[in-house]
Amino acid sequence: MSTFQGLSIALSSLQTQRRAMDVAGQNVANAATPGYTRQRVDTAAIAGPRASLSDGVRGWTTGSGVTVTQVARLTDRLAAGRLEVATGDAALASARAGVLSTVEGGFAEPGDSGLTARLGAMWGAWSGLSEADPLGPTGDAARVTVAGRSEEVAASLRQGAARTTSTWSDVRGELGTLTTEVNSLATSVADLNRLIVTTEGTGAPAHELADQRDELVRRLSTLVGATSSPRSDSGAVDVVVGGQKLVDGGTAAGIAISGPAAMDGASTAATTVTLGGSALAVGGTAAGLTEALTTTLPGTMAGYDRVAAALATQVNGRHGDPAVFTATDGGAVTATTITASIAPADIKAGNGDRDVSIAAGMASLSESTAGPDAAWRTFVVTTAGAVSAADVRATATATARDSAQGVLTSSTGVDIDSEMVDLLTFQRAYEGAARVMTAVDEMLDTLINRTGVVGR
Amino acid sequence: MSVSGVSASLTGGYVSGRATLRGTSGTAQASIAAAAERLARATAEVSSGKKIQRPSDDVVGTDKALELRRALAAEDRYARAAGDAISWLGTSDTALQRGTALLQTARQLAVQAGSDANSASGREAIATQIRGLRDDMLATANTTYLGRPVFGGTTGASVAFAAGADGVVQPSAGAGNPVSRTLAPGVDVRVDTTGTAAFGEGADSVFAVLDDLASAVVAGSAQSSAQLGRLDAALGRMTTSLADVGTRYARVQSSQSTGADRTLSLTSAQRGVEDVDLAEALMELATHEKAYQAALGAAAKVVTPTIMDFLR
Repeated sequence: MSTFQGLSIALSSLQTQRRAMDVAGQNVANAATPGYTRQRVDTAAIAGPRASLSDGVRGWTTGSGVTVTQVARLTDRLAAGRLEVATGDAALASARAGVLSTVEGGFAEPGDSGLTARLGAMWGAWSGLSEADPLGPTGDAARVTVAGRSEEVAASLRQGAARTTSTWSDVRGELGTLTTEVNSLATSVADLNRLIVTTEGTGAPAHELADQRDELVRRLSTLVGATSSPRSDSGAVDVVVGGQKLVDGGTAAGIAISGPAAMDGASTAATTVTLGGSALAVGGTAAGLTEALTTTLPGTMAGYDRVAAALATQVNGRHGDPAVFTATDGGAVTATTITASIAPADIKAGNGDRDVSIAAGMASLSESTAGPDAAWRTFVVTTAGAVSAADVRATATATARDSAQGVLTSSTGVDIDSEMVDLLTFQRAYEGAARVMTAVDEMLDTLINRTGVVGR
Repeated sequence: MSVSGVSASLTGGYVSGRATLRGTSGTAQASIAAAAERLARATAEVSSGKKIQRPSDDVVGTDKALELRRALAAEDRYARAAGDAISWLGTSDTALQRGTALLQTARQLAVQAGSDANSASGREAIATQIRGLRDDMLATANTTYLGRPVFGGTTGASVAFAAGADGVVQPSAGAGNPVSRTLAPGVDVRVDTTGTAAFGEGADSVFAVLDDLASAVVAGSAQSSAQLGRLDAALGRMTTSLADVGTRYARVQSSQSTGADRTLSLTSAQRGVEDVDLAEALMELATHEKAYQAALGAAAKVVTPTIMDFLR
């Protein structure tokens, strides 16, 4: 055993404590950094040198101090996995609720500018015509009112259809932006994966890179419901979307949108996200947006169309030739094409002379359970029910996501109190090691400088 | 890499309730945001006075509100139709009362002409009076309301009765077709009065009767008295029509009053569904305001202290 063994033991401790204090310092420094995972220094005692027979000191070899075995990154795969799934679910629910809420916002119901009020005004105008003198000036005025109110109703429906179409375009644009972001994120994740593998190859830890990458993956969870699965051979992860690999270690694939570029009324074809040419079962915001493009918005358009068709069929049916409501394109009447461009003079109060049976009967359509008012009410209430359900789901999934985030943060975040206590511990250990060094130094001083000088 | 990649929550590294800086501040932030959202909602309710800001706030309420709004618009129409019917029937009533008065005057003249004391010139004067009554009667039969002859049904002509080239008064084409007003779903009331029912038809028409009376008065007292029967029959027809108009008038009036009641109850129902109870909403607002302040205060207290505050 070397005479200087004690010094090297103290040195190993000084080095270890310093490293430990550095890591604690790094933890405290990043206490507020999003996505930072706390690190911990793992230490181990170094076994002493194997005692040799010639030493004659067998039986009392000590260890050779302390060493840092690793700086561990305290991730929590289970909590992180749960958070990825919860994030995707919450993003999907939020996107769905967002689109439905936009649709609902267009109704302006219950209110004085909604379609119910407009329909009421139109039926009132017909009723007014039935009370006027069809052959006199009061009749002419009433006809102008009927034409005006009918066009207001038609305009209200056209507005609803136009708003739906423009929402569709907005959502489509958003999906396009999302696709670009996803592809760039996937490339970044792949780059970081490669960098992590390279860094780990040199034996250095790549914890901060891993934190950075996991943040990007979480963003991908929001956008497309991605989940990550760690590779067994390295610190890289694969990013999986709908069972297919978006990022496979160091290589990233790209997603694309397949579907129509513009809305085509209620019969708009489905929009899907594809990966390498085949359809991808996405989650997250992308799923909410594709659902809106494929189902929700065409469904909304169909709802407006049903009201427009009910209005045109029933009013025209009672009025006879010429039709009150027609399509601007000459085809079937839809919410997009409905117009009341009939000349006021062509509006018939009744079947000749001062007969007002047509005008009087028209208002009774408002009472009909199959009438335009009832069709509109059904549409509004059905949509409101869907919005309400989507809101509840959005709130529930957001709570689940926050709770998963809480669990992960609680497990991987930095607790300043415990870091401080660690820091104190390492500081005291450092002081102790320094004291050991002093003691050994004094012992060597005695041995070297004071030996053999007794009585000098 | 022994810990990395393995769930700390499984290996015992995870301690439930580890208070991390980001965790604590995140929770505080989330609770402040939630409190602020509730406060904003309460404020919107109070300031707009509406319980239903969007249909999804209360789906069942929206369903009711839309139906109530539609029903109120319909009630509005029915009230207007009832007002129109009242005016129309009132006009008819006045006209028929005037017609009855004219016939009664004619009857007095006929009785007067039945006396042998009248000279030929006196008879001629009475006959002239009776012809004047007949013209008044024609004007009465052609009474209009808002340009429509009230005894003319759906006629396209401007009058209900017109004298032909031969001087005989005939009802206009289409005068018999009814005109009705809808006072409630499925409740139609006829507002016109068939001209021929009130004023008679052909030889029985009040105009023919008065013409014949005038000729009879000139012819002599016996002839005049013979016309009294026809005059009474015409008077009877008019009185019957008058009673009929009165009945319908009463019916419209009662419908008007039930309509007003219905409007009132629909309006109060709509208020109940759509409008906020202000006292309740203000209480709610105050509660949420306090909750928001409490969330802010709690966050300020929770995020600050660490052991660093106590180390020197």
